[in-house]
Amino acid sequence: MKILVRYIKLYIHFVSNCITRELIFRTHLILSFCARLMLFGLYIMMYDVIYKNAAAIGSLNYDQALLYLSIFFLVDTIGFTFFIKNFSTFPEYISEGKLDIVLTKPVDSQFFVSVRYFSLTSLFSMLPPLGLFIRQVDRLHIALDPYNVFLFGLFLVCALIVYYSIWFITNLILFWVNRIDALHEFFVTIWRFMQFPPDIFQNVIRLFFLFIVPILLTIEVPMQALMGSTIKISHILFLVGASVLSLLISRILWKMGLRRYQSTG
Amino acid sequence: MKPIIHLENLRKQYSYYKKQPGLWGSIKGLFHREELFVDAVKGINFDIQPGEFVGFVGPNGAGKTTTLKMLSGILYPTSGDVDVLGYKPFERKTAFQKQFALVMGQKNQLWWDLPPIESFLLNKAIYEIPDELFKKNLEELSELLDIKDILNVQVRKLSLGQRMKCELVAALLHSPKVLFLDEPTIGLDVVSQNAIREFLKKYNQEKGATIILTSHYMQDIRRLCNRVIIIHHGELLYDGTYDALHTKYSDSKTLEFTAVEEISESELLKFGTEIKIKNKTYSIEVPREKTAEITGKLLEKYTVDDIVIHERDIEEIIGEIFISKKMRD
Repeated sequence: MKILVRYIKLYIHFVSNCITRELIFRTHLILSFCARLMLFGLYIMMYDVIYKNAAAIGSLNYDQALLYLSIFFLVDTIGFTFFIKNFSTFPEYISEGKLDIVLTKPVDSQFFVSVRYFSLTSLFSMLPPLGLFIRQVDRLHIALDPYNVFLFGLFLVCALIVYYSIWFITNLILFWVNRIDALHEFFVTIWRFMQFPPDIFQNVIRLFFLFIVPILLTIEVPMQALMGSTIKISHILFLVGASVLSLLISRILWKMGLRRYQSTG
Repeated sequence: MKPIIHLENLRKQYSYYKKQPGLWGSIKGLFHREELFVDAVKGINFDIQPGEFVGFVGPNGAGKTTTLKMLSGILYPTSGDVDVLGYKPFERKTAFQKQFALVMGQKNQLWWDLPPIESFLLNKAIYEIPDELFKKNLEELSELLDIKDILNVQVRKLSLGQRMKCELVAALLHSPKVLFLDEPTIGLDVVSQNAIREFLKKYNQEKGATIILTSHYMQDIRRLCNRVIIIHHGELLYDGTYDALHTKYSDSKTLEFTAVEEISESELLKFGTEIKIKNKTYSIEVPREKTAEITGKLLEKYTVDDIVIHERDIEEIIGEIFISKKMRD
């Protein structure tokens, strides 16, 4: 408990430093927010075009698809808020030796490199998908049963753990190959596939998103929980299992990576 | 007394890939690369007692920084034993990390866009420094290093010297027992170098902290360290006092003086060798044990305006030690 309080206090310091820093650069803050807003708008337009030509994608009608998209963007912006600046700094940490200072601090190094930076811009970018989410819950007349809301929150946390762990693991490749620019973009590109309902992925691609990069169910399961739909037990087990396992693997690979870390001269 | 730092046959090997020259070599490298190994530190041994101020000297690539990184737990040793404050540094135990600090002249821990005070407060949280101790240490350190006026100025707007002073404060707020300094005066002007030297000297004397310092500026080593360890190509070449290093490896000193009268080279050869004459400034190399005697004679014979006695450059001595070692091997 004492350790948890210590890390929470530390995290508040990180966040406070980052907010102070980002508020200095107002133009950057506004422009980045506009860019994220335009991206979000683009996806809604794309869904509009698709649904003018089809009644449903997989099992989702237009309103359900927009709810799905809003949950996707919520996970995405939460992930960006907490991790984007940290993971884009990985090449500096590993290839340029900036990890040196981190490794001398009496703080868990994985925690430090994962959450040291916080993106205020991404936090603001959470507002449009949150607005869409509330609108779609209303349009779909979803009764917010406390149990369903609890399950939705729980599965959303699992989804975020999977999101964090796989993104983190992708960055660890740097310990073995030493130099890949913008490696963090690799996961972001793969993750973008999840903006589409999982039913559209079949055969090898489906297997890839289930067993190699297990992100296929990260949006669907929380959404089904919120809507009070019947969720296959195998899907729940898969999402929870994927979150625990991917977090564990990220820890093991981080420790292995540190043994390989060579710093710089 | 039990040493605070103990190294036994400490070795570090790095691996890297050999790259063939040219475009074709790069394309071939996509399919096959030869892995090579280099020993950065080749089984070194030394002990350091509490309170010692040790200069760790050697040319670029000698293994100084690699050793410091193994002592601070950044790098895992390839083999050998290392013990700092009773801990194995590479295990990175919290209790160990709270007792030492590492300052690197070429890497910083301060937040670039924020004032230093924000980084200090973050370190307070990281090291769990009690409020009273933090206040006392910050007050004392900022007074000693004269940074009170810049605590609230963005780091990016500070000069290199001011930044290094702030780096030192950030590193010392938790009162570390052991301090590793890797070229802390690199790139600084003479005034800043002196300020940092004076501070380190005082800190070592008053707090009794054990300090290992690497530096290319021999002034740092000469003024601060009571013990010098020389490393070259990963091997220890010397471990002793600074003065003994000169006495042991340099049998001459250089006298440089300006005289009113013109002195010929043949006349100066009576006093020493390696004569250099520029205008009325003369330079001669004399045997170490005869320095005082010859200085007296020169002052007696000529109207000398100014005279300086130079020790031989330590880099030169290190180079010679290495060459003679290589020849012996």
